[in-house]
Amino acid sequence: MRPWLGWAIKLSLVGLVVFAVFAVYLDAVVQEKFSGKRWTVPAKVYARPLELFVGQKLAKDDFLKELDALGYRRENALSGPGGVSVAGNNIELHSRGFQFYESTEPSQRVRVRFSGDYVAGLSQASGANLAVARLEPLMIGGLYPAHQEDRLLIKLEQVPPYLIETLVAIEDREFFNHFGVSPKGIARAVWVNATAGQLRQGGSTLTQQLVKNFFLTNERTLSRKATEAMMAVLLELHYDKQDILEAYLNEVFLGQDGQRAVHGFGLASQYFFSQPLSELKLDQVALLVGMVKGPTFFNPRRNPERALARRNLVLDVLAEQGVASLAHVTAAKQKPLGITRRGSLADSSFPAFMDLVKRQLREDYQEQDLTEEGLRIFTSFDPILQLKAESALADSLKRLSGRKGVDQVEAGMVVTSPESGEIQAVVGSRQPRFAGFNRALDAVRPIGSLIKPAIYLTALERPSQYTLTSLLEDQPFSIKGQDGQVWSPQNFDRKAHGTIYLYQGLVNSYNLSTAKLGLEVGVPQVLKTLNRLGVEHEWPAYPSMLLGAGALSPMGVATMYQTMANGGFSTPLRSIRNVLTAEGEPLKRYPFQIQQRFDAGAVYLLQHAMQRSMTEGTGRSVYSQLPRSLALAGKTGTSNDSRDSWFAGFSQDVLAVVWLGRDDNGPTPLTGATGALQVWADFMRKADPLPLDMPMPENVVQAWIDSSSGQGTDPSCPNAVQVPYIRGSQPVAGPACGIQAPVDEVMDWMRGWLD
Amino acid sequence: MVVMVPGGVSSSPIQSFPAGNAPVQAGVSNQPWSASPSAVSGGFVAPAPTGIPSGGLAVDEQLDGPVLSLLTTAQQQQGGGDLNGAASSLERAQRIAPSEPQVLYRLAEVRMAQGDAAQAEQFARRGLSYASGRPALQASLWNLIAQARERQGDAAGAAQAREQARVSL
Repeated sequence: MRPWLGWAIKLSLVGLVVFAVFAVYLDAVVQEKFSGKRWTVPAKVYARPLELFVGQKLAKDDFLKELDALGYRRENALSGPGGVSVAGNNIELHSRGFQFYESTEPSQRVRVRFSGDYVAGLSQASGANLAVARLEPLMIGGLYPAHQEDRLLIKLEQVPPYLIETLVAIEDREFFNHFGVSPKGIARAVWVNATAGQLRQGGSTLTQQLVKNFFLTNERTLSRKATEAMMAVLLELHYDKQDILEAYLNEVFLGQDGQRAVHGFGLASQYFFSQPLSELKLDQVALLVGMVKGPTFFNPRRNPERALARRNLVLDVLAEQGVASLAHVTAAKQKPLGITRRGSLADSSFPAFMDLVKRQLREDYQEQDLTEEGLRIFTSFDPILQLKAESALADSLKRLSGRKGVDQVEAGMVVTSPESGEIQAVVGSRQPRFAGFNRALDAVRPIGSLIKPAIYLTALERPSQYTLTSLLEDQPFSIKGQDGQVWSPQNFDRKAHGTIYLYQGLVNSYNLSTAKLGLEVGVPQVLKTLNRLGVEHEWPAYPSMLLGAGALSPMGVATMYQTMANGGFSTPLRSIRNVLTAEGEPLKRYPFQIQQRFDAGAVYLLQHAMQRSMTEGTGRSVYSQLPRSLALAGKTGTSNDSRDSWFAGFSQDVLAVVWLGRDDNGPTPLTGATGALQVWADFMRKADPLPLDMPMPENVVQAWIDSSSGQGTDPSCPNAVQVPYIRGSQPVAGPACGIQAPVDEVMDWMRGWLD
Repeated sequence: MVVMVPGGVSSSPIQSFPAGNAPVQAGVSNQPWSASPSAVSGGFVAPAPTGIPSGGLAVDEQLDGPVLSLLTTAQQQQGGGDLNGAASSLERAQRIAPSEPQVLYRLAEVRMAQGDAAQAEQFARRGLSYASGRPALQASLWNLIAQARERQGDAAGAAQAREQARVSL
């Protein structure tokens, strides 16, 4: 007996030591992980914030759409941040405030008055004048590593009323009383499991759940359960309840979004309601807390009935336990789930634009910094224009679908602001929601006649040789190129057009006269112009380049046309404005940079011709959709056998490039005018841009010419039209015609007399 | 040039520059923009009030609402040494009023303060393209171009720009 007892004592001592060592080890594990940075957070990418100011062009419907996407609640009387009330053209909202790179936008009550498609009034709720205000930016995505967790970290102060009480009531009633494990809870679990004959209920406290998610794997064994309990006790020993609760709120898994796991109440609130957590109401809180038990099983998007039943069960418990009044609970149970629709503005992903942003970021940051440091990336993305671009594409292709072969046509589209060089929208596919081949960036295709403005610009830079009304011969010709090939360009209509004015070659996109002009100014010169426009290429100086044999992506074309739209100033296109750290410290800026590459006068003349393309040339069908008063400039492009249908053009404030074609490079039934231009026109109609209005440079004069002879004339004469010239290159003004003449003579006589 | 700002802000130190031989500190944000003297002359002439009546903006130079507000913010940021913040606020103003030459003028000034004379010149040139009929502003822009060229070592170009500034008025 005795020796056995001695051994037993010794063994228990050893056991105790082993246990103590294990406990010390666990303690180190708990403290190490809990005291450091608890989570890595993927970078978040934001759209541009919507600016509000008097005189701003903004349709009320677009404004409301943006507010919806930001999760603003429609209310009769504003109840706090995130609320909006609409009364006709008067909208009052309580903005949430946001920290931007250059300053912090306060949360404030703002009144906006609309008139037509303009903001006509902006003031604070007090009536005080407000010069400018910004909404919060829409979050459009993040940089998630494959199969990884995502979260929006929140602090305990940011939780809405009822969240803590509900969580405790549902998941761990004894939370504020126990020391990490709850004997009562375990007893209940043992009873449930014993009666069920299998493991059904864990009896875990919130602390244990946190420990399980934080430190342990998901296996359900007794030894793991024991370790979990020990760690829970250790955690409670070192940290207070508030700390543990905050960690729990950020850690808990609440849903799966493709490869991204939605963790924490902060992100779940955005993911399901598009609202910040702090704004959630009782019914929303109950839904999220109810989901803790089974985020997939109770997923409100996939299993709405189940989720609703669970939510209402949670609400009943709250009434039962006196957490919320019966009246409040009854009202909450009447509410719908209120989950934002996937694919609406708030939730849609914009893979083509995100792809662009990621490419830029990966040039400037380590992958790990992007996926772990919680960076905030502010972009120029305009969700309103993006949706208009997408619907213009879808609507136009639908209209064109009668033509054989249109089904196989794919698309790429880029929208920029010509005045700032910012990229506002990118469409990479006919199915804009699916990530994949990003045609806006990667479909490098022959640009056809889109090259022609570069030829005319090269000519117009030499005002002593060329003006818009110089005469060109549109006649067939053949030359032997450097590559040894004989080159015989043809017009699209296979006709020659004889002697024409220079601008007519561009306006009607005649190949013969344009190619001839290109050969006169020199193919290398034209390619150099293309470089100066901002296009990087290594095209050989073959004559065929003059008719667009060279290939560019829609983004490349946008860069090229940007310079023409912006008065000859080239600017690298940008999608990112700036970057803040997770703590809100400025990290990096992508500044606006410009460089004057062309004389403003030459660009003015070019724009004049490109505007006439729209009013009387290859782009004229645009005005069957748009009002004549909307001045636009642009150019069609069609490659051989209609394999590529292009249109690139701009208003004062919007530049858009559209490409249509097949991925296998097969022929399509579409020319630039019948295909891409239709998409472009529909987009412009939806975007409702400002008319092109380049200020006339000081070296440009408007002169009256006789449209039939090209000679200088007087406005009083028949056929007199006004054409801009670089000063000194204009024709000499002609004499006046008709009854005006004597009047002028009298005036001259009087002037002479007065002198 | 003086941007019309409300309250006492207009007395912020943006118009005077101690000459000195401090090294060019592009991007250093805790110093006002006087920290970048011209390498050529050892201290450059203030671009500020040239040609603009000293009592504030001429009538045709007065700005309204959002642009004025953002220019004021930018001026405060620049005064506090936050050049990146100032540039960001000005770019915000430029997006709101892309063809307002005063915004481009201020952007040029801040680029200059950041030590980027080449971009300063470009923005001033862009400003000129929108400044038709505003001779005082044209003169200020040309003067800024002159300084930018000087800083880039282009003395002849600077002289030309100064001549342009003179004939603008």
